[in-house]
Amino acid sequence: MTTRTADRPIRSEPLAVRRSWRLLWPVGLLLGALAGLQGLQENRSVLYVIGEVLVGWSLVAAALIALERRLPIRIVLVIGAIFGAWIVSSFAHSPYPSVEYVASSLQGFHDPLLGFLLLAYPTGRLGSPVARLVVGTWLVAHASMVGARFALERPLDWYGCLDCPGVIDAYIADRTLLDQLGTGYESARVVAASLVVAILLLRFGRASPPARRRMAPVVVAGVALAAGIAVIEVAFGVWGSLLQGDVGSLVASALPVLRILVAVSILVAVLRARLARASVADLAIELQRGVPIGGLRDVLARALGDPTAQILFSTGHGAYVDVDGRPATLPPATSARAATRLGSDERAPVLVHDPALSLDGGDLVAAVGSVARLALDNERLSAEVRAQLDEVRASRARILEAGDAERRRVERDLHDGAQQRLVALALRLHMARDATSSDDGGVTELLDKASAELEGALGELRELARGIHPALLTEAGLGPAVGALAERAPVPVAIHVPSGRYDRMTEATAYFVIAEALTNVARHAFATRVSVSAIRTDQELVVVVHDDGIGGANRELGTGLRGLADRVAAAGGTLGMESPTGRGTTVRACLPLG
Amino acid sequence: MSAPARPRTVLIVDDHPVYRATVRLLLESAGFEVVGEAADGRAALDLVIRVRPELVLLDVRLPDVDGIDVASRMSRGPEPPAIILISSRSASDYGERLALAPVAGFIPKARLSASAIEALLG
Repeated sequence: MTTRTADRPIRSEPLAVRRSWRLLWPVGLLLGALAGLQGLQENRSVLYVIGEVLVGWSLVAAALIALERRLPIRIVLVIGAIFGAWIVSSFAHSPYPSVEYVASSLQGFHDPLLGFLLLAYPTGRLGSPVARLVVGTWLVAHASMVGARFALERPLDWYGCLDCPGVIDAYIADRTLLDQLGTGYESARVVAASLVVAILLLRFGRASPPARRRMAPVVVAGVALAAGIAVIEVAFGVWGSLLQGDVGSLVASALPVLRILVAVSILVAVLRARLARASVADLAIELQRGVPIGGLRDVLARALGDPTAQILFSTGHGAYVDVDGRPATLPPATSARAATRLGSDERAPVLVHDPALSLDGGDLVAAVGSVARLALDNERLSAEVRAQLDEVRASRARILEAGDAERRRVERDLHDGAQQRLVALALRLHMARDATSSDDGGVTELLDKASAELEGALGELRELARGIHPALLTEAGLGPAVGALAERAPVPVAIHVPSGRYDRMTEATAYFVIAEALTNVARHAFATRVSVSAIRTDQELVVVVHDDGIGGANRELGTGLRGLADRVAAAGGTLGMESPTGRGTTVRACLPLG
Repeated sequence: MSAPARPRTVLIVDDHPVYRATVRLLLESAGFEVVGEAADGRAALDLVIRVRPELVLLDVRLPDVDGIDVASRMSRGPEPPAIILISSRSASDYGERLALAPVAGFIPKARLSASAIEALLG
């Protein structure tokens, strides 16, 4: 991939070069007019002459606008060559035998050259070996035919017969070879024209939307011309006897019309790149109205006519983020995408787009980039903020995860340490109690009290450990852990929690939401029953705790719920509560999965 | 339960040595014969085949395999021993899992005694 810089458009080129281009306009238009007016000398109709002049001018305009629009130079040269071949052909019916001889021998080169242009547009390269073979064969075949004409035909005045009728054929001793060569060339022309149609349609079918828009007029006219050449050639070959006189002239006149169509289509295609700038004006208006943050990509894609366009912002050291702040990479050199840096600064945004948008020097991309500069800056700042926000979210989730891990460790330490020593002590107290006789002066009673105290301490320790992190949640998951919560709850709890495990953070967050909600029900709700449900969708786990209590709970007043809302948000979810007075309370947490 | 009504040979499975030592003292003073001690699930499964105890006191929370899983595997063997799960937590901490386990019962660790064992084994 080549990263182009689009803020140095054609204005940076030497002025003298641009002026020399302009000088070609009057020259080309004059030549076109002269060649067209040649028809007047041949007593052609006014319509024919106008058509000829229009073909010439269309070709001149297409070549010079293509040059100005910085289309590949090959395209300009091929259009120029077609223009030259057309001028030569226009003298094929000259009243001067020598001129007629040279012009009619050379005529017809514009067809293989048009084939070249159609297959090479808009890149200037034929692309596939098949296309090269088709165009190459057509050109060589035509050149061979021209060579044969020069070798086998001579103008009348070369034989000193200036007053002879102007029919060259009469002076050729044997036309058999020329006729055979002509038949062979016509067959080659039909095959070549048919292949041009097939390749054009195939390429059009595979092209990206921007490339299609660019190719469309040329492809339509090109297919019509190439198909016309093939069909008319075959028609004359098969029904030659029927296509005599006016009918034959009418059919044959279709080809010049189709050539006019191709010349005009090339002009239209070249001009369309200029017309596309109208979309830049629309873009300016749209930007002035204001584009929502994150919406600039769509607006630029619309202006460029490239729905796949992407904006990447540099974050330094060759790293990029997209408009959502997600890490992104520039397309590799082998990819079918082009990237244009919208500014000379290394940190300027990069537009990744269809390479067809670069073919006329990337002016549209540059214009869009210039108009959208301010909005792009805003979007870049927004993307940076979003990237930072993503990092903050990730960091908050990591902190939560670390906190949960610490809770699990503390619970395990309590279980493995103090709890084990205390239960061993309890057993020894029982043993001491069993070993003591009944008349020991109050020792038995003392041991019983100590055992009871120890039992109480152990109970409190268990509650503490459970509150820090329930071991059942770690070992068996949300369903069993919520089941254990429900068993201890003072209000009947109906549980609908699907079996299965979730990631630790989701399980812990869901559990603590349910535990806090059940605690609040027990303390404040005066409920007779509670339902706890968890619904798993593809994207999230929705936990709902509903009671039939007095309602009227205020989330702002409960520090427990407020803390939980923070915890749920850190896990990437949302926590909501509805508590209409007299109609119970519903706590709902939506937690993202995966 | 397929174990004898009043088993005398016992295997203690718990990862805390202090607690194991205390239980051994308690049981031996009550007339039981402690035929082995294991600190984790794998050692317990190995010992139960080798020493063939009539009773296994099995901690629910072991460092390698979950105690309830160990109980399930022991109960699938030939002539399985009677198994009593013990834990420093309460039964409610394990929910339904305890009720579904193939064991004679559950005793909180602090309340373990010969009479509690005999009450469970009938």
